[in-house]
Amino acid sequence: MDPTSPDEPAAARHRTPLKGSLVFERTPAERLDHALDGLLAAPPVRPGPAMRGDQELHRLLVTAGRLQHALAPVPISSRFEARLANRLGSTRRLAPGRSPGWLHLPGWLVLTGALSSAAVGVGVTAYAVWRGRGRAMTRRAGVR
Amino acid sequence: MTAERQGAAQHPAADRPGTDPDLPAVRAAQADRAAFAVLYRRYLEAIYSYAFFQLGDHHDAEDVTERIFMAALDAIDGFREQGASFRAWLFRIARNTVANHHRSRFRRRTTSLDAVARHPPASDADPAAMTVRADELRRVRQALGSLPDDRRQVVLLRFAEGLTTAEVAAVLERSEGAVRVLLHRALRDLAGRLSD
Repeated sequence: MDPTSPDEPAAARHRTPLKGSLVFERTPAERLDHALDGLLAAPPVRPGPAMRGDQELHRLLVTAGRLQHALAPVPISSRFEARLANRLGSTRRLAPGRSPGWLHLPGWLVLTGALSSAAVGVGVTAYAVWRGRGRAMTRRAGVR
Repeated sequence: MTAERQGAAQHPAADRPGTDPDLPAVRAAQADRAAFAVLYRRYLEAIYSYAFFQLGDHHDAEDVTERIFMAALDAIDGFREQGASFRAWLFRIARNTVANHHRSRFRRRTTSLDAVARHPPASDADPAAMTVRADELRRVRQALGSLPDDRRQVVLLRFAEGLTTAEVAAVLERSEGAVRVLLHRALRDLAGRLSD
């Protein structure tokens, strides 16, 4: 079984005595992660003498230092930086992701609006039909 | 590197809830998009480097960086302080954008890394140092390229971008324990390859 596996048996874990009688169990992956936290917090990376007791951990920390050095931030073209800043600035004015406030309406208001529109529609149609009938009756009476 | 960018690289205690140092800037950007410029300046270098280390080409890295920031600006209203830090949220967008870029191109480009040496930082103008760095970067990238994608992501996010384990876990949507194991295995693998 891989010693770094999260489900490794407790017996395979290292016991690291801390203050007093407290004993913490840590997997190699946890110990490495803890050491890396310290290493990344304060560049440049130099594994401390305490790490040299553990050959494997020391080897990994040396590799980590090498990676950190090689993967230093890449310089950016100032033209690109300015162009993207302009682009973001113009997008801000258009604000594509943000709809006007009046579009953020509660559901009940939308429903009321829809019902009102339907009622108006029905009313106008009924009026038109009534007018149409009235005219037809007048025409018929005129013919007689 | 500006002081603001250095601050982004260190990013103290970003993985603890309620202590995300980007929150004031994020809230300002949600209220007024002009304030997004602060976050842009803070993370431009990190996002660009992340894209460059994966794509190996300055033009592709610029294209992807632009899309990442446009997407972030578009989605900034949706960011909520509970859960991952802003930095983890931004790198999740970056990771998805880079993955989409890979998919859309069908093949991964591995162009010359000498491009890095052609644009050295002002403080690193010594040609010999530039050559050494380009060689070292080439070796590291070759070794990184041989890793499975999840291990490579963990290494890049942890070492190139300085994210904490919790933030890497949030970006990759894995548990912190899984991230630690991935990192341990990746470093063991890289130690073997780089010592050859």
